Parts: sequence; C-alpha cells; structure tokens
Amino acid sequence: MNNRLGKGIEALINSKNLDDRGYIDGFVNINKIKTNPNQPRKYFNQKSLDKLVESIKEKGILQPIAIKSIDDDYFELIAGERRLRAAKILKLETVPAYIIKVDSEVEKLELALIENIQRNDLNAIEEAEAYNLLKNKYNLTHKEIAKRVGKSRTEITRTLELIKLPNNIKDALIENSNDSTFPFTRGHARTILILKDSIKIQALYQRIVKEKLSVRKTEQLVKKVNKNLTPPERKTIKNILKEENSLSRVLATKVEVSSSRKYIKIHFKSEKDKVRIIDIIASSKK
Amino acid sequence: MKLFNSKTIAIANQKGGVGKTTTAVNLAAYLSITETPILLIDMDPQANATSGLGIEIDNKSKTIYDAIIDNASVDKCIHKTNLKYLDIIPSTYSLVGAEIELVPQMKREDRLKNVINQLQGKYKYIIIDSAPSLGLLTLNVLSASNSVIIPVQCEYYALEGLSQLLNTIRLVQKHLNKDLFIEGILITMYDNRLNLSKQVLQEVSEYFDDKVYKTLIKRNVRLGEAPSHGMPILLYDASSVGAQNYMELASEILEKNE
Ligand SMILES: Nc1ncnc2c1ncn2[C@@H]1O[C@H](COP(=O)(O)OP(=O)(O)O)[C@@H](O)[C@H]1O
Ligand SMILES: [Mg+2]
Repeated sequence: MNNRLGKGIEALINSKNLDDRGYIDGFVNINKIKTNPNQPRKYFNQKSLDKLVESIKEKGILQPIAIKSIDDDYFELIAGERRLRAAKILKLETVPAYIIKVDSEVEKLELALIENIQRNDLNAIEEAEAYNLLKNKYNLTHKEIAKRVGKSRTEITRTLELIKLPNNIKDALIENSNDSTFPFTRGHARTILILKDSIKIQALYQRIVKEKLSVRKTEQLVKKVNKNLTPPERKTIKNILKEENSLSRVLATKVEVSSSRKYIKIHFKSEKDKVRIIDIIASSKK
Repeated sequence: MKLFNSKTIAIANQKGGVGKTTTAVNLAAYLSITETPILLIDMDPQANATSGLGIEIDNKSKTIYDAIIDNASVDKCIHKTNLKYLDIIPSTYSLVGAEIELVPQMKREDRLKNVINQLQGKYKYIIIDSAPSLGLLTLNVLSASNSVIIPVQCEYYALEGLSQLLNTIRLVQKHLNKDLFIEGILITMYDNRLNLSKQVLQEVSEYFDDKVYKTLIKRNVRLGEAPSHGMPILLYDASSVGAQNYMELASEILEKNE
C-alpha cells in the first residue's frame, strides 16, 4: 500500500476506483447502505448532530459519504456515519456517495479512521481505541499507523497510551469531550498514567476533577507519590537506632540521629552534665 | 453480574484506639475506587465504622445484628455509602447483646461466616472492623475471614497484648478456620520525630519481619476529624498525609494480592 492514505480520503477518491454498478448520478438509496461493524466506537454528540441536520436541511449533503459494494444489493458505509444518520433523521431517500473499491479490512478501517480524524469527529479515547484496533487486529506498528493516518509516531504512541486508563476515566473523557471546563485533559491523563497503579491513578483522578488541579500540579503530585514508593525510613531506621543506642551508651545521655536532616543531637540535663559530655567527646579525640 | 473470587480481611486487635476502625473504613474506601465492589462489615457494637461513613441507623434499618442473630437475609442488611463501589453492613449498639444471645447457640462462632457465605462472589474484598475484645464477636470475625490485618499503634506497651492476640489466632486456626493467616501488621500513628515510634517499628519488624507493611500510617489530625463528618479520608481531605498513607496501604495490599 502506498502512502496516498496518509493524505486522506480525497486522495483515494481521486484515483476513481468507482464501481460501475449502482452508482447513479452519485446518489445511492439510503436503505441499501449498511454500517461498518468495524467502525471505531463512536459517541454522537447530540448537539453537533442537530447542527448537521440543520445544515443538511438547508444546503443538502455537501460532501458525499463513502461506501463500498458488498453484494449485488447492498453497500457498506466506509465514512460519513454522521451524515448518514442526519440523512435518516431527515428521512432522505438518497444520499450522494462515492463508491470506493477497498481491498482489505485494514484499508476500510483506515478510511473510516482517516475520515473521522480529519473531521475531528473522534475524541481522544475513540481515536486511541481506533489505533488500538489497527495495532492489535492488523498488527500494525505505531510507525505504520502514523504513516497511514498522517500523524507523527509520538502522537500515535501518546494517544495509544490512553487505552491504559481505567474505564470510568475513559468514559468521563468521552462524555466531557465537548466541555472545555472539564478539568481532566489528555495532559492530565498522560501524567497520571506514570503512576501505573490503579488505586493511585483513581485517587489522583478524583482529586484533579474535584480540586481542578492543573497538569503542572498533577505532575508534582505524581512525583511526590512516586517518591513515597520507596520510603527511605525503613532501611535506615534500624541503623539510626543502632547509632543512637551506641552513642547514648557511650555518652550516657539521650542522642538523636537524623540521616535525612543530617544532624546528631545530644541532650544534656544540666550545665554540669554538658561539661561531662563535652569532656567525653573531647577526650575521645586522642 | 460479574462474580468475584472474594477475599475477607479482618482488622483486629483487642486493644481499643489503635486505629482498627480508621483502617477498616479508609482501606475499604480506597480499595473501592478501582471500581471493584467492596463490602465493609462493622462488627463492633460501638458502630464507629458505621457512623464514620455517615450511615444513620433507625429502628427500621437492618444491621449485622439482624443478620447474625435473627437470620435476616443479608441483602436487606447491606447499605450503600457515599462511594459508589463501597457498601456496608452497619452495626448497632444491640450487638453488645449478641455476645450473650449467641452463647446457648450451636456453632455460635460460625454465624458471621454463614452470613458472608451468602454473599459469595458479589464483592472482591470484604473488610471487617472488629470490637476491641477477644470475645465471641471477634471469634466470629476471625472464623469468617481469610486473613487478618493487625494495626499496632506507636505507643508505650504497643506490643503488650499482641501475644494474646496471636494466641487467639492460633486457636482459631486450630479449631475454627485452619486457613486463617496474618495478612500484615500495620504501624499506626507513626511519628517521624519520636524515638518511640522508631522503636516500636523496629521491635515489630524484628518479630514480624516482612509481614510489616512498608506503608506507615502517620499521626494526622485530618484522619481524626473525618469520621465526625461521616466521610472516609479520601472524601474529607484527599490531599492530607492520612489520605496519602491509606492510599499507599491500599495499593500495597492490592499488589500483594495480585
Ligand atoms: N493515624 C491517625 N492519626 C490521628 N488520629 C488517628 C489516627 N488513626 C486513628 N486516629 C483516631 O484515633 C482514635 C482511635 O482510632 P480508631 O480507628 O477508632 O481505633 P480502634 O477502632 O482501634 O478503636 C479515633 O478518634 C481516630 O479518629
Ligand atoms: Mg473501632
């Protein structure tokens, strides 16, 4: 496959792989179109669908949908699910369509994906799920996916990371994808995933939403939590107690050692006691 | 409905005020945020875990008393909490009477176990808060549990009474529940600045070795305040040290159980 797909659906259409059958003036009967079972999970935003319906009512469908022929009777939708839906809502009988010859499932999926990505129809999670499908079902590498959808490899890798989010957080991202006041963003998602621990991820997620924490603040908290993972105390405590015990035995007074704050504290009970302790320390020098 | 391979963990120490209830409530709360169903059972007549989660009991509500004494159906005794995935079977003061009411009964140490058996698979973890005694109620708890977490408070004589508890556990293993084991020892109300805290930690570690949780529960006023607001610490003040500590504990326990 060449990289024309990287340029999106138009590039493919220009190649005019049109089916000769059923392509009547570019208009196809709506009842003959089945939707693609592999279509990446999609959540239709009611508002934007309403808007589309309005615009179609006014101007008609400007951009043809893309379909492919599956048998003598039916076509399968490749791209333009929202337009098709809007058309159904408006009870249109036919829709303008490009009939495309697609060789493989991958290509079909890519087309759906490219179309959606370019139209910015997919939210982050849907995009991630779509890439994940490409990756797992068709064994494509991040690099291959990047090339095909026309994005950078790091962008793909970063988006794919979102798959690891717990389901409730994914759902929240999807539900709020059109709400710019929702405090949890992709940046937050990427940051909390550094934690790799479900309880910590959930706890921090709740805090981000409740306290409206910035990504910056979230990064700091992640660092703090990770530092807590290796409490310095446990190992050193035994040693410190040993040191304290041996010092206080020698000096016959209370001694505190702090390795973290780097001090040795020697207590005395009176002026006389102080002199006694100083004497011990001073005399031990020789 | 998804069925879980449930694990029942008791929080026990016959000493009062060592942090059993605080641990039961907050551990259960943090375990529940991973969206797996968790059940907290309050087996202390003082019902601090119940009130600490903001559950109000009237004379119509069914509690653990109804389940173990009156054979009430367990589903009727389960209450929801402010956390979606955390349920509770609350306690009530009448549970005091249970100790006496149970005495003439057959298999009186198995009452709670039978209650929990009815739940099989509904919850991933069942956490039981127990009374500060080694009476029949606590025997029921130990007999019904897979494992036990023992909170040890950093104070003078912290280890006193621990051998009695261990003895009880041994007896339970011998006669009632041979698979019971110590899930972990939890140091509570730890204070970095106090030698006493370090000494308690050292002594406990010498005896229990890696059974002692790496997570230390520090002394933190927010943990003391949360119950009077009827909230676990993660809802009351998620940024507090106490919240951090219990979050760490929950993930340490999950990690060990994976
Ligand atoms: N880590 C802690 N820091 C400060 N106060 C605590 C801490 N743990 C428990 N407390 C408080 O100490 C008291 C006794 O704790 P609690 O959990 O009720 O013990 P128990 O159930 O063993 O009797 C309660 O008032 C509780 O709020
Ligand atoms: Mg208690």
